[in-house]
Amino acid sequence: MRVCRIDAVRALAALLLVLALVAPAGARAKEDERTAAAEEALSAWDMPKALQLAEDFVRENPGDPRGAWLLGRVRLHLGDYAGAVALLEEAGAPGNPGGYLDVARRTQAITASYQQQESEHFVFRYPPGKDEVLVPWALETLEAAYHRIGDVVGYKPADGKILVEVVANAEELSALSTLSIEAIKTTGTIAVCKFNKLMITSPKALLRGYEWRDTLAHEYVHLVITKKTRNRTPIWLHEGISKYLETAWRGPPGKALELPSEALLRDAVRAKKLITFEQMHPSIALLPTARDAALAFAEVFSAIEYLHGADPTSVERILSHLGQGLSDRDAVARVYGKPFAHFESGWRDYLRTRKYPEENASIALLEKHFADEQPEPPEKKDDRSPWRDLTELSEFREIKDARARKAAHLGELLRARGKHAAAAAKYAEAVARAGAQFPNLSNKYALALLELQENEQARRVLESTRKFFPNDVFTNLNLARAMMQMGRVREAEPFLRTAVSVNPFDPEIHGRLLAVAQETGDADLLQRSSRALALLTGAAPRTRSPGP
Amino acid sequence: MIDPSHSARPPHPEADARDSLRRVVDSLRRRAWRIHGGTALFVFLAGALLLAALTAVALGLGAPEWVRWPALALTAVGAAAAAAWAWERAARPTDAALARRLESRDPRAAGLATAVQLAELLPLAEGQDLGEKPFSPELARAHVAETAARVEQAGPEKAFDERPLRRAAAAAGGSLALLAVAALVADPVAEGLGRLAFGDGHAKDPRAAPRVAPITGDIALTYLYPAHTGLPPRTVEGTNGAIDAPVGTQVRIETRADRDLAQAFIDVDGASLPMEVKGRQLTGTLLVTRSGSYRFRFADERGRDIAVGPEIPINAALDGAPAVDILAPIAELTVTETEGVELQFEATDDHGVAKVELVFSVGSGPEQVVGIGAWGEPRRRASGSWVWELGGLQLRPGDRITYYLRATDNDAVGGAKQGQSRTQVLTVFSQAEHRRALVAKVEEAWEKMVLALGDRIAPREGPRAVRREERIEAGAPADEQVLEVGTTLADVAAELRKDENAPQELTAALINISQNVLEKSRVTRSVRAKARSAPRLVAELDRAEGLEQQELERSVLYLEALLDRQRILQIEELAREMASSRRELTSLMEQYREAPSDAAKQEILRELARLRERMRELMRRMAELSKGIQDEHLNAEAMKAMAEERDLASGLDQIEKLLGEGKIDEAMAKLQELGMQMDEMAKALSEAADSQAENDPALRQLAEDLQKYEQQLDQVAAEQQEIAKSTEELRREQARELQAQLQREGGEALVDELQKKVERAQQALEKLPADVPMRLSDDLGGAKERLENLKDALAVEDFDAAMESAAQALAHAENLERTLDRELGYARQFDLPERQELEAARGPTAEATPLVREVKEKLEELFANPSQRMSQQQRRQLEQLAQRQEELGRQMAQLQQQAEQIRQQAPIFDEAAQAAMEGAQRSMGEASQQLRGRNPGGALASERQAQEQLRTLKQGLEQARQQARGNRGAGGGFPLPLASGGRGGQRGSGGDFNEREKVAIPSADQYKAPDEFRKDILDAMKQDAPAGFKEHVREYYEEIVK
Repeated sequence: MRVCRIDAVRALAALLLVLALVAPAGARAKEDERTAAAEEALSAWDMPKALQLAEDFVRENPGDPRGAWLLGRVRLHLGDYAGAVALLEEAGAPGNPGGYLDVARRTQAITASYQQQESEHFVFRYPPGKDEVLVPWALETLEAAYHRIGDVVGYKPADGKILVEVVANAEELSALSTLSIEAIKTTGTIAVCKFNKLMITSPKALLRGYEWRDTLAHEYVHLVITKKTRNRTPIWLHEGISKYLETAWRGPPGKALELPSEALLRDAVRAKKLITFEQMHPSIALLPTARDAALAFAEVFSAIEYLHGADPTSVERILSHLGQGLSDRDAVARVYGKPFAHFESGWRDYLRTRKYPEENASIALLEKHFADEQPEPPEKKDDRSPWRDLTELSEFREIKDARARKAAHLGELLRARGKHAAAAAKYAEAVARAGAQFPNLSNKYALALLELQENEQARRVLESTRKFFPNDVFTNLNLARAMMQMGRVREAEPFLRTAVSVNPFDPEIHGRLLAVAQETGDADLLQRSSRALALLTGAAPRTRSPGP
Repeated sequence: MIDPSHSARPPHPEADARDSLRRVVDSLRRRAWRIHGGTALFVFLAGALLLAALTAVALGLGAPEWVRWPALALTAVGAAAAAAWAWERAARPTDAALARRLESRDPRAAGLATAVQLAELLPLAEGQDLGEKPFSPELARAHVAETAARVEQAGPEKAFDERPLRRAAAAAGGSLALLAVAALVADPVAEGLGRLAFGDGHAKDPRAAPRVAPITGDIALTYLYPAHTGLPPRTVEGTNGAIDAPVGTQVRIETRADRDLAQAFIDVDGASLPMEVKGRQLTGTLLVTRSGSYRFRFADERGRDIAVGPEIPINAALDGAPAVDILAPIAELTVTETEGVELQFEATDDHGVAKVELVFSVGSGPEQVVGIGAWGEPRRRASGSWVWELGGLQLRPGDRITYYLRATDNDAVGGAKQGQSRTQVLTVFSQAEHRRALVAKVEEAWEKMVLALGDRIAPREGPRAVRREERIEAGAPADEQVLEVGTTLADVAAELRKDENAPQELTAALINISQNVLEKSRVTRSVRAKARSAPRLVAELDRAEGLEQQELERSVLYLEALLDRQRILQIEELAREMASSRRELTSLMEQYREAPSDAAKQEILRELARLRERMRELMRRMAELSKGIQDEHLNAEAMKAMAEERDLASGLDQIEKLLGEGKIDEAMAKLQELGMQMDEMAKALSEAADSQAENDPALRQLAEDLQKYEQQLDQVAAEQQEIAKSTEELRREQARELQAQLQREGGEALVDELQKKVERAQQALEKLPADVPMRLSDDLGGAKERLENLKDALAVEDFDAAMESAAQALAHAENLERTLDRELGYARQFDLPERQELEAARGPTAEATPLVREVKEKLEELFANPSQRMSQQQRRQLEQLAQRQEELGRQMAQLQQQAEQIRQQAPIFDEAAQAAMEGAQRSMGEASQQLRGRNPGGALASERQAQEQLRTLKQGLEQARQQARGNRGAGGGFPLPLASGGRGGQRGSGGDFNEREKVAIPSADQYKAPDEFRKDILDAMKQDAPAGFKEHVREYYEEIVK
């Protein structure tokens, strides 16, 4: 999710105050004009222009704190935190929490020991240690996003490499982004596009990871939109386009809605309880409930889906109009070819005829939980089993059908006691009644089948749940397990790649990727997975498969 | 060519070159000395050591001492030869010879010998006359200088090889090692070496001393023991003098010398004690202080020693620490908090036991000491018993007392010594603990059930399910398991049934489950046996297995839910105990604030320790729970409460710290805060128990179904009551007409006959004991009362009332008989103690019931053909009642279906409930037939029977609820099993047998019984006895605990 909190107004006010105190009355008008231009460039993340104007000002007005104030913030936006701190201090900027000086100081402190690797268009900074695992995958994602998303929106930033920073946890994300911890935890914010850079929380801060590669792409879309439209895009379009395009780096756009969101949208359409675009203003994050926020995201996604479906150049054109200064309603109306109200009713009609899955899933599945909010990850319960059971007991709470829940629970009791065949029978009964929309249930069923070497059946069970949750890490990992247990090592690769896109810190995934690389002779993958294993386990790279 | 760089050297280059050559030659000589001298030394040492070894062997084997002299001489010769050899090779050669040696071995030293010789010939200073020399001085200087520069790089190493030196050193080392090993392992070699080194005189005392030999004759010893031993003096004659006595003993020694002498002494511990000498008779005294020896010594008049006797041993027996054993009770004993425990002990000491003390501590509290025996006279063995009244210790259930006995002896010489017994434990009986143990047994049985279920399912429905005939054998292993599970469940049920503390809903559920499982298992095994010879029965076998599987599945789930409930309740109970402890602590702290004293503070610390232990237990239990419990059964708040308990322990630490600092008010404030936390936790746990059913849809559905069933049952019962009332009205009208008719026709003979039958029935019932188990007493009382009414009605010829009373009396009698049969069945199945009592009651009941039935039938005959006496309106009314009764029968059938649906979810209904439902429906059917046949009397009896059955059902449901309330505040909506199979109401509630009442002090011997047995007795003592049996029970327990 992108959260853009521009402190420009406050900053401008402070600047104006300074100006009022120190600037000679005669020069004030001219300088106001120049500083306003610089502020506009800074706000639009037009960094070359902002830098030029700021440096000119400093050169022409040596010792003027306004220059240091302006250039300091430009430095902050360029990732030069030490320079930013020095200039902002020189400008006498207040060190209040959330202020530029505070952000620059805290960012400098946090990123002081960071390492960085670069690709053609990106600079990726990360804390030393295990987060290095992210590097090749992240840069691959970002470069793909640069080109594919650039094609869709008609804009590819060319004013320097884009900075991406990884933070260790919610606290650091708060420090770097100025969002409060509470806001981050309650809204499940894990990445932010702000200060002309992408900031992403390390997936290891979340117990089960998250779709961090799609998230990188999502934040990148925010950056592109901001730059292309000179920061003139309203939140609903920002989020809608970002959500819609976040999967474009790896395939077609518009694949980001999962079953809980689909079900939420479907029910709201049927109940005629959609959230209006007005209600989404000023921020979706300010909607009263998490359910409302989830619904709003699904709605804006579907609005872009509607526009893009009608004309694939819609997004590009809307952004262009916004960049030229049109309002969102006018931009959409011009691209749609009819007034905005017509677009809105057309979109509502589209929602009514849109295809939805009939299954249900709790929106709780969309929630992101930081590792410090969760109990310890489950240990392997049954010594006889080679599998780690990564599912939880409590997932059966979501199964409302009493008989299905009973069967699932019996399955659980039996599986915990090594009675895998009987457990599989009861899980099968539960799945038959409750359907495949409970990924943990399906995964438990699959685990029991894998124990029994019923690999093909396990694959079928997992495939049916993957339809609803294509990114579920356990479903993908278990599919890979099934494939490899069947000797179809090459076919495990896409599942493992999806799994690593969610939880890159699971050594098993990299161990299996290594086996795949050995099978396929993929040197790049071999190197990535070997390095990842060395980082994650501290052991020498393994050269054999991690087991069945 | 000479290196021009040499021109840059300091003045007197020739002198430098000569110095260089000198250094080279010196180093060569040093090297020669090191190599040759060293070689000579090591060769000499090797030879000398070998010679020493040979000589030592010879000396060690007894060779005369002179052998050492040639050996020593040879050694000296060898040393001289070695020195000469070394001199010859290191000192004799000239400088030139040494230089030549190097020159011949190192090419860098080429020309060295010449240079050395030339250097000697060249004058040191410029201008000196060289005289007639056969060489050119310049060239000679140049040669010397060049050689000196070159040869500096050549060391002396090559001139003299080190190998001979190394070999010689190795030989010397080997010889030394050989000699050392030989000396270590072979005594003759060691001895020989000693002789070689020091000669034969080395072992002898260098001072001249008299020869040691016996110098006294028979020795008489008189022991005067220390007073604390209580031993009388003892004289031993004709000894060798060896003394054997406790420390502190005075020993008087009398002996006879082998000569006349002037003075005699006893030498002991470096002191000389003079003896009294009378001619040859000697007398002396010594005090035994430690083990060692003494000897006699004679001296002449001038004090010179003339004879010394051999050492005579003194064996001083040290006073050992006393030993004490606890003979009773056993090492770990469960007690009540108010009873007395008899400690039986035995202490022993080598001289005397002075006292025995009991040392104990409650929980982790401080040690306390109580004297339990003391003896003024020395006793080597002291035994006794002492009753430890626990009442004064303010114990609580679950408290743990560790104790041991400490004995002290009366050693007045070395100081009193103490010994202690093994440490033993008393645990104050805790119902909660006991219940937990029972629940653990149920959990174990449940685990077995899950495994059996797994093996039943796998071949039927697993991914590799076995089809057709193969199933016959594939499913057989599970048969055995299921049978074993059923038996285990029945065993556990029987155990729980005997135990009043057992959670009754668990007992009821176990009985129901075990009966159902065993029944299904029986059918499956039977069908499988048939299918082995008739494979066409496979489908039937599959059905039987399927039913068995379903039974196991619902039983597993329901029992699991009940166990979860028990776990929550256990924690809740523990939390309550903690709350009580906390209140006590508050009160103590208030008292302390009012009147501070060390004793009060100690009391507070004790209570804190107790609270801490409870908390530790709670934490342990919660940790177990958080792993074991199905969190589907818990709400989020409860989970949170479980997590929060960790904070409580730190709160206690703070309180203790504040108390230590004397900040009593702050400590109290902290305690209050802690109390609020604990209350919140207890509340959350309580809510967790209540919301268990809410959190589980299956349980919720079951609870709803059960509620609907109960509502339907109420409606049916109310309608049945209405119908019976209307029927009764009609019956009364009929009776009035009949009464008039009989009065007209005379019916005294019939009345007499009926009255006699009634009296016989009454007499039969009178044979039953008045205090039959409560579940029988209702029907027995009812039957008696109705028979009395019947008798009265017959006396006044009120046949309608008689008819009604007869019907009711029969219903009670039949019910009594049925209940008796069922209870007898249970008693036989579980081998319950009341079996004999029930068997005795069976006869009179069987005698009375037919008599009552005859009376009723006779009266019905009187009412035969009632339709002839009926008006049109009455017939219409009967017809309507029949329709209503039929409809009610249908409703009853629906009710049974509902029960079946419930049964498919959980083993809620027991056999009795099912029998009652069937009975009610049967009675309703009979009633409707009677109504159709226009026989309101007969119909009324059946209606009453139906009412009774419905009441039984209702009571079962009520009882289940009451049992739940017995465990905690409310049932919390949890669907509990009908309790007629459990112990419900088995014991009267009005009993006054107080569990805290002290029965008698159990004797020590009793405590030797296994703890298990003792716990059983304690449990039994706490149970209420039926009225009338109270005294007998008390006597019985008094008898067995004596």
